[in-house]
Amino acid sequence: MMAGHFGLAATVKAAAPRTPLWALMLGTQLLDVVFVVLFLAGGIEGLTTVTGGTYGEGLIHAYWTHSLAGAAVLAVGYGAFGAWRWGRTAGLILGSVAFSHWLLDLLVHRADLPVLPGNAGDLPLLGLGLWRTPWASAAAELVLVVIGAVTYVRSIRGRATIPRRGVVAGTAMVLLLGAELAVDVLT
Amino acid sequence: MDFLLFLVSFVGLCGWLDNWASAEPAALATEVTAEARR
Repeated sequence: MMAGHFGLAATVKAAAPRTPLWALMLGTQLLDVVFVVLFLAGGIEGLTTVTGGTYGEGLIHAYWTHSLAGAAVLAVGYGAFGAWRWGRTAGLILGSVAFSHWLLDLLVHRADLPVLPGNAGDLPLLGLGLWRTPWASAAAELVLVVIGAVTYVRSIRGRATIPRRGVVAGTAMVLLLGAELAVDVLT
Repeated sequence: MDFLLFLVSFVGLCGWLDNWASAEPAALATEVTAEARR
């Protein structure tokens, strides 16, 4: 769902042009960034695959970063960083964008998202499992990417100081998001 | 690690492109002047 998260970031950039695009994109992936760090730090979190390990067959064991409470804590922390660096509005936006990762994961993941950090209380794991139907999950990502690309192109046309640069940046963004979606789905 | 490298590259490129296209007029003027000098 990487491309879908980036698509959302591009959409938010169009609505909040003062917030840096890199911070929005990083925010949408923050949970996975910390997940990878914890994975590299001795397998505190990890990933297995259901069958062939292709698109939508991941099953994460991320009881800290991808728990509902853990995601909320990371989002608040990222929002606080954004507020310190770019002001309160940007902080709210960046915090929301960071939390959106968990909501989109909830839609596609099989039931592997805990409510509390460390799966405390052994509450039922969450996940609506759209990945079980890969074409539907890919379609949902495509929608997010298309909305992101279209709104970004419109936005950058209005914000570009030199029109030609707006066309170049808009075209590049469409190609980058499209390529990312293709890599996401086909590998 | 591959994921982090990819993420930094992708996010960095997109962020740079956006900044390049929407540079503030003052920054753009500096850039244009530097180009003219060259």
